[in-house]
Amino acid sequence: MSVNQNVYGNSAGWKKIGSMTETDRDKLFLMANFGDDTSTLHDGVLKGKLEYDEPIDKSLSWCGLGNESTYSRVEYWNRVFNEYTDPSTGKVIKFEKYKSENRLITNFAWIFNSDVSPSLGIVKYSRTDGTLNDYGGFNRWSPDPAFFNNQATGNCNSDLKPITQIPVQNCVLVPVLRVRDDLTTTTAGKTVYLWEYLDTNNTVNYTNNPYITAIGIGVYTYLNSSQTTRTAYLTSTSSASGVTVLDELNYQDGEPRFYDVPGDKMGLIYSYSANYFGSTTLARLIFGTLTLGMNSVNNDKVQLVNATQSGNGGIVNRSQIIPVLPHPDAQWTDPITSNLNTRIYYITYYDGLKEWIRHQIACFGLFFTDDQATAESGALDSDNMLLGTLVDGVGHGDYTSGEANRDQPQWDWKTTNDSTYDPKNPPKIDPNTYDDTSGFNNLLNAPRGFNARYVLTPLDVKDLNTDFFRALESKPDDIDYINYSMSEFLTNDPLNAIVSLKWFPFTVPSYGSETPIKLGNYNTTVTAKQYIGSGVETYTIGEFDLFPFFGGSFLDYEPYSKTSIVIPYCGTVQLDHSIYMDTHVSVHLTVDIYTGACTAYIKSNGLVVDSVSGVCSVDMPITGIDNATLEGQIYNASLNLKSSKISEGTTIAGAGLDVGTSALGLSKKGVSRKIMSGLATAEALIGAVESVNQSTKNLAQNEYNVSHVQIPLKTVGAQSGLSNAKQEQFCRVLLQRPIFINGSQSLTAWYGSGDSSVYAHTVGYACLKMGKLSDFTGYTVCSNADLSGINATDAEKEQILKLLQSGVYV
Amino acid sequence: MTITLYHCSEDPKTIKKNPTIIGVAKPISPTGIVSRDLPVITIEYAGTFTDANYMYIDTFDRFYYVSVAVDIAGKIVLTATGCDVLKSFQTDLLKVPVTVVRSETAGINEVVDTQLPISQEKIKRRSIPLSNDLFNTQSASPYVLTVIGGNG
Repeated sequence: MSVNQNVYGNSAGWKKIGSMTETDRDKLFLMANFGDDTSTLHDGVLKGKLEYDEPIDKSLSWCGLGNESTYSRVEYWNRVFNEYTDPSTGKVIKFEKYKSENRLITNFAWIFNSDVSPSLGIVKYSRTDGTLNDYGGFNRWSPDPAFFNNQATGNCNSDLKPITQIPVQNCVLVPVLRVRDDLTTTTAGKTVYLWEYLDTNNTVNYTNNPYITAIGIGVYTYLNSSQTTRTAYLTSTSSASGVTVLDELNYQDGEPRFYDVPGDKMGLIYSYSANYFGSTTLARLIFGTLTLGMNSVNNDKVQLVNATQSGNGGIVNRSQIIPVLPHPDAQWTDPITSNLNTRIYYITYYDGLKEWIRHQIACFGLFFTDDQATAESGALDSDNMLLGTLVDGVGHGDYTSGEANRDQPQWDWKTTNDSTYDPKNPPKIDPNTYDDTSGFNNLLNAPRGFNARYVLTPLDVKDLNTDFFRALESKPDDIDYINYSMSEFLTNDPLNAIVSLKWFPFTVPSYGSETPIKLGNYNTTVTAKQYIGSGVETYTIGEFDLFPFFGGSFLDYEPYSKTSIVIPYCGTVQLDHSIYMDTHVSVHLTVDIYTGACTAYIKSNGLVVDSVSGVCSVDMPITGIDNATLEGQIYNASLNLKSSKISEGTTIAGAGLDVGTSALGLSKKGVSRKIMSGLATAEALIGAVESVNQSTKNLAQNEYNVSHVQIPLKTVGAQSGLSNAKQEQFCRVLLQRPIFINGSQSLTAWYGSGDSSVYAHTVGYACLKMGKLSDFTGYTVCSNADLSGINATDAEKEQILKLLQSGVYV
Repeated sequence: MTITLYHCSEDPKTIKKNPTIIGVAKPISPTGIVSRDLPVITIEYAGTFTDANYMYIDTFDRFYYVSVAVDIAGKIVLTATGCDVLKSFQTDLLKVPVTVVRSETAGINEVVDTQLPISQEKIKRRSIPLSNDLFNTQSASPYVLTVIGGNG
């Protein structure tokens, strides 16, 4: 959309920038005119066109910068050397990335400023009352938080002049770099064009100055129509030109405005000065740190605030946030070990740098080149002339070159005001990041608990079985079985030391050297390696290409063609042809070594689409002496034996006593027992004899029980099914394809048959095409037609339509 | 009014017909109104005219399918059986924007063609075994023994 002339003045009055002698205004760079030939934002306020504390009109943005642009990903770094505790909030501040933007679209403006100090950057500000100019970037907690702030130095935005017109046909952007040959001094860097930097014959090039601290965008233009060579324009040293973000900034939201006014919090701001990315050395930055408002910050280095220092060097008086246009590989370094609060933000030259720069410049949707000859005199459709691609008005870093530039809408733009992009109503951007491959979790390290897992051969299992049944033999005589078992096997039953034994249909990976298999504290004589993997092993168990047998036609899809895949231990999965057709299909099996559970993942071109679970191990039962039961039985039997022996002695003595007392008619426990009759005495005598006999019998039985305690057995685990292991031990793809009635089994065969031509001529192949009827030949059936251009009667048109719908020969 | 007589052997559904011209005649009756929809016209006899099955009437700028008869006076009676709207409006018709759903020459494989003569009963089945080393190598150490304590 065109720049809003209600705000920035009538386009006929927009002011020319710099010294261009061109008279055709479509070929000029122009800036706002708020009235009386005034152009600064401050002037805009004075003229009633702008309001303080309100965002300025965004119509300056002729396109949107996509999320790929560094302007959508601005980082903010705290500017404190070491750590500092904010006295007002108690918040610890240290040098680190404080916040970063992540906008899908960034609206921006090119801003021009003629009041530049080569040493300090843009330092000339007008107060809103129009009184004084202020110099220096001191006395601010952060880059000026608002359009106007009396408590800060003044309105830092005031001297910025928005550019309202860029002559698209007379503007070629070129990359400019700030580079250096070392990272151990603060020596000023050098400014070079990219084409110079890539030329090893140039004094300053990528081999001898590999460190890049900033990258900017230069402008080449024909100063007037008679010139045959474009020259650099809007250069930084005399008339700084930068880019500013027009969207809301939230990095200061909730932060204190000043340390000495802790309750004064900042909110969302529209601070164009704080995001004016240009400097005295490079204009229109696309990478690097920012100059504006910060003393001793330029494209070479930044000066961190020393929290312990008072005065101008102290934290109270310095900006606390460094805006950075980032690069994924950028780093900070301390160039001077004795003064660590000076830092350099840089990247080291790499092969892909040129392309990265191209993508960044392309986001602006203008012509650009990194070739000197093309910059100076190349046509806009010459081979090395590039043009940023705009998708719905947004630049994502793609570009065209040469003749292809003609196909872009910008080819027909005279100026940026011919853009149709509406910054107030930007297009919807898909925020998703797509990655059509999926992998497995390589960080998994399943918990091992208190268990150890040994990987055994069949022979190991046999030997262990033998060894295990001898485990109790090593018990010292002076320790009972229970205590021995507790100390050796950590349980009163050795069998409990075994948690499980599983068989897998493949060689289980093992690690390290063989060591004796240890059950609790008991070392067996069998050695084996341990399984100490992640707990889940991943295997690729099959791959193939799902070939479009019918040339990718509808016959290759369901319900005509079907494909399923049989996966050992997991089952059968039908593959959805709409996803898998004409892709590389791979089957990956993850096996939980702990439990035997497995899951097969089926990928289409590397992306997991289906999964199916199963079990691919067999539990092997282990049987052994149930020691706890054995101990219990022996204990009880012994106890009974002792009891029997005591009982027998007592019974014999008691029987004699009973006979005596019976005979005497006295109770053996006292006088209360009455004297029994003679018959009763005889019965008592017989009973006593029987009692002695029974006690003797019990004793013998219990002695037998002790010596014949049945050895109890116990089984750990249960045998699980093995039938799966008998099936084919590989994946099998089952394909189902249609056959033509005439027997043809492929399209080629069908087309080669006489039937196909008859079918085409009498039925016609399915088609969904639009066009004029004359675009088609042969038998043609139309679903509808617009007959309004035919001078026929209604009845005739109806007849024509019926004929078209039933089929005609064209 | 001039009648041009043709013999047309092409399919009536053909737009660009090229009928064979037989001759040109002037109507001798009716002398009054002639219907444009289905005209009936009498012309002088000529032997070749009896082969006509198609005619063009310049007054109406239309082609007609025609039935030929001879009356008792020996004149030829041409009875139009229908107007060939395809041929009559051929030029304009070919410029008409249309959506084509079936075509002899512009078929699109991706569009489902339910009329294609595909067997409902016969199906070709194939299978592909996918080799892998995991399950098909003699397993050296297939057992995993889990114990408490141990070296774990």
